[in-house]
Amino acid sequence: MQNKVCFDSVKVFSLSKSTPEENEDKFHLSNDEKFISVSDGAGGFGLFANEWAASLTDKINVQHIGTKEIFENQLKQLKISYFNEKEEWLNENNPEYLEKFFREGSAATFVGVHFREDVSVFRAIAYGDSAFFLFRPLNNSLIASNVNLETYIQYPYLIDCIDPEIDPAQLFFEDIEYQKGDVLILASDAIAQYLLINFMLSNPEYSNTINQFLNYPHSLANFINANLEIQANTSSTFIDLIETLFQFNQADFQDFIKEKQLNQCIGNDDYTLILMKL
Amino acid sequence: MADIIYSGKNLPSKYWEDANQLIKIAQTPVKKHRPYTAQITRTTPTAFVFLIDQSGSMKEKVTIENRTETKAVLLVEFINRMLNDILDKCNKFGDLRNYVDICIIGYGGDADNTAKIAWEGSLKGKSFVKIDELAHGYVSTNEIVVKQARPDGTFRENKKSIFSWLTPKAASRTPMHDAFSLGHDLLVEWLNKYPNMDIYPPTIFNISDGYATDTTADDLMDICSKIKNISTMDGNALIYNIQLSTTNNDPVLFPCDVDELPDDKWAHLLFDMSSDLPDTYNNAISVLTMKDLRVAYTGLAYNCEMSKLISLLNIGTSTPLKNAK
Repeated sequence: MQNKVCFDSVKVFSLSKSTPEENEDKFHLSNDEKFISVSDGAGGFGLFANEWAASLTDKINVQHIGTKEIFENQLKQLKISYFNEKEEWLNENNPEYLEKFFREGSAATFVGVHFREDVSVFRAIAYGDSAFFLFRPLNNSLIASNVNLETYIQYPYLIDCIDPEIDPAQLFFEDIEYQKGDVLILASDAIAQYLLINFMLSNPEYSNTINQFLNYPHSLANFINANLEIQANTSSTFIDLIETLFQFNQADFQDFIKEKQLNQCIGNDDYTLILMKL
Repeated sequence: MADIIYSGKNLPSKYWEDANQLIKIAQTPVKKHRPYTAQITRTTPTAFVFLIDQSGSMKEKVTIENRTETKAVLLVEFINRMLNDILDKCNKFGDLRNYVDICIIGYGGDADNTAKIAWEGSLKGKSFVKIDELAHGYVSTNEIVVKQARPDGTFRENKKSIFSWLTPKAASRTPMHDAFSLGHDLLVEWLNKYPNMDIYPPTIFNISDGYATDTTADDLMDICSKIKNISTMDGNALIYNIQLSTTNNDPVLFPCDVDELPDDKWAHLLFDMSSDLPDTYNNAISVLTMKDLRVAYTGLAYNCEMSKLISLLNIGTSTPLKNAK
């Protein structure tokens, strides 16, 4: 089947927790390459988080993702060139930060999706807690790079420019078959966690998982509890939530996030969300 | 309210009228279902208070990694190193993020046998110091050279500045109660700057090599209970007690039960003075001590080797700061 993916229908929201200039989430959409990616720069660690996130989204070449090994090798080369560029810049402008840069580098999570030309298949790549979801409204099912809520409360696996290798066991690298009517979602961690919680709350098969985490001594339990209360009062489904998000403009999305923060349904973070009807 | 300058036990008299009201606000009950989950931000910082023993016994010499120094010198080195680490975590390429307010209280050290805020130089006279103040308020700096690797496997030598904020002191007796009392009053005042906010509860670290000489066991328990009753909506203030040892005999780190300690009244009192730590600290504790991840630990290190001090302080300071945004 010919790939009929239309990038014109993609909905993109990116919102900073502070000023737009400080947004450490980056995204990239290429209609020519049929490639979408999101990277969440780890601002709590190292230097230049947003620039490294931008390098990952902008410079990953889809011609070189044929296998896990080829992708990892591409990452290695990207790290070396980025590191050398930043070392040179620091040397000239801020040599007092060289020691910190060599010690901590720049770190980010990454998720990317590349659509095949010939069949209804995309290749999904994910490292860390930025996630992709393939939601199928037809049977209310979800395929995801990560369905373990616990991941979002642990320190994420990061692609750091000072580490020659990533942990291959943590790299999600799979071909996923999709159907017409499916919804593809790429999200940075806070919004990914929010969506996953709401998907699980609207599916009785996850009630044990939800109950298990409700007793967890962490903010995750607060988020689940807050979302549970709201869902009980509105009886809205995950499909309703996705449809609502598709109707939003950037201002609506901003209001939505503010409300969710006030209700303690979502953590304080940068938020990037890409939605696409397939 | 202006910064209060302390030199003795209690709030200065001009604050007495406010004191009861301030304490009442600071002891409001916990409102959250799951405490110790507040996210630390620049507008919702947390506080660390370090009570450091400067009594005469800190003149005793110990040897660590073939280097012999007094305990006072080593303690100040560790505190300075920890302050460098905190500053490094909060420095985002020159953007100094005020994630934590820090107060250092020294006890002993001078002939008057009182606890005093220990900041020196341009920070002298301040109680809690913000990160941007810390960055500019050091009293000396030392440059070292470190050999570091690039991702391509080649190396480079880089310079690193190590800052110092405190100098060692060792004299007189051990007015530990006075230090806790001063810490309590300062925390009450600090918390009143953040009313009804989701603030990660403040932490007090008490580091000593001896026994309190200014109080009774009941009074020490009483002041520690008062501190543990100070709360934000995210939970109650935490107390860590670190009892230093020169002998390295049978250290007990983060006990679950008082029975793990030697049959010693002082050890048992320290156990009762210390906080039950929330589960969020368990991972870091189990990495350091190889203990079970699933039980509740007490914020106590008894007979602790000086060399372990930085790891212990890291657990108390890095765990909350891990989620700073």
